Amino acid sequence: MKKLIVLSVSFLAVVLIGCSGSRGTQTANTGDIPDWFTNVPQDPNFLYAANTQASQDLQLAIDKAVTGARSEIGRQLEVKLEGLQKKFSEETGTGNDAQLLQMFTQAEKTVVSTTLNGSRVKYQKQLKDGDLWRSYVLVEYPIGAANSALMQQIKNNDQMYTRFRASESFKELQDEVDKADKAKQDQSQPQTPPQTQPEQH
Amino acid sequence: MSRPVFLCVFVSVFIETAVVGHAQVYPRWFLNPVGLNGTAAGYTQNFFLQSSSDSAAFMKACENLAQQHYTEFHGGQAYWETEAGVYWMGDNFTEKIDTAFLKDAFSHAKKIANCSTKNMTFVLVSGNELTLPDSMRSTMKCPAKEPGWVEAIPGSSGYTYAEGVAPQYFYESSSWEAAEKRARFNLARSVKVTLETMQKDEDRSGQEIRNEEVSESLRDIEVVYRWHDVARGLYYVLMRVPNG
Repeated sequence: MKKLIVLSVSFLAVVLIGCSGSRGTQTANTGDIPDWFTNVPQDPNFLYAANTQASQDLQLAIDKAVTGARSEIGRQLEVKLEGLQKKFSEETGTGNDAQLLQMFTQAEKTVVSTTLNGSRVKYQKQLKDGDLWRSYVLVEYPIGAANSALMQQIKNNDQMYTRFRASESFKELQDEVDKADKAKQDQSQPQTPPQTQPEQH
Repeated sequence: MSRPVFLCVFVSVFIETAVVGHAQVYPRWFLNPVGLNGTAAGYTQNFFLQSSSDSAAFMKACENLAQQHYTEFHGGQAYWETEAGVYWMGDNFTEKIDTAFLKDAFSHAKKIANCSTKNMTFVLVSGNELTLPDSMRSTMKCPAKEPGWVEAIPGSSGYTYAEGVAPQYFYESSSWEAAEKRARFNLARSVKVTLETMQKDEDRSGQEIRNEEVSESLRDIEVVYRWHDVARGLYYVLMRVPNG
């Protein structure tokens, strides 16, 4: 009887230790879709884009989602700047001035391609979706950076500056740039990152 | 229930809890290095001889010190999105460090702490005269609950933050290395990235080609926190770099 008990315990111990050797990659529930993905934040000072992608490779899922979100931000920026261009044109009556439009378009293209810096991943979450990894990301981009760059492009071009500086749209743009600079100065003290959760003892 | 069966069930439950539910133990300065400026942690899987593990971890720490001091990132990747999904077309990222600094680190960096666990050896080196506070010298269990920074990446006007994630590899040190590498690249991408996209509409189907290029150099990269998600087998590293 005692031998039987000892043998049973030993057999069970060997089986269980062998089965529990994997320390990670256990199957997990898909979990809920994050709130910030379904309710994208709205802030006049930032552009936001959410994206989700899945892949067998974890890092690929994250990269695809982040690149997709940044592409969306680029598109939002182009739409915003095209709207700004229209306002300038209507206000200053330069809609038919092809040379001026071309300068503005050039400035707009430069702004879109070179000022996508400071775009950061604000939230990200990885979940198991069957055999795949699914990544949810929310990317944030401060509009202030784009406005400052556009303002600089306009000021660098004498002809554009002369035509636009008296317009209301230009003054509004200047106000937005000043607001963003002030907000930056107010937040100039580096913040301490959030502490980790209380450790286990 | 007969006594032997009850005993078998009891022992099996005890073993399951002891083996699977055990939290990982790490040096405190490895999981929470924020504020330890001018230091870098190195780590390696345990070799047969402890001295070999210590040497390998020290060399890894010096490499990390050089990478945190100055790293250049170059490269890009492309995706093709169709109705069927997003396909990865390839990438060619490279990292370059200051090899003169690395050589200097091998000679002059000081080992200010070390720790060996069941699977890994950790070493902390300093490039300056930093003394590790006593409160940082102990070990701690990795928190089971997900810290806030894992999902909500911090942001401030003084620093740019980025997170790297890696799955479980055969050696745990490989997972941490992969997570740190991703965090550095994500930092570079957050600072500046050039994105080109082309969308095409044809009949009732659409396609998009996306090309992402990074060419940036970063200085004074700092590891802020590390966390190991035991349940899902994921390794997280949060890094930051000063703005400007």
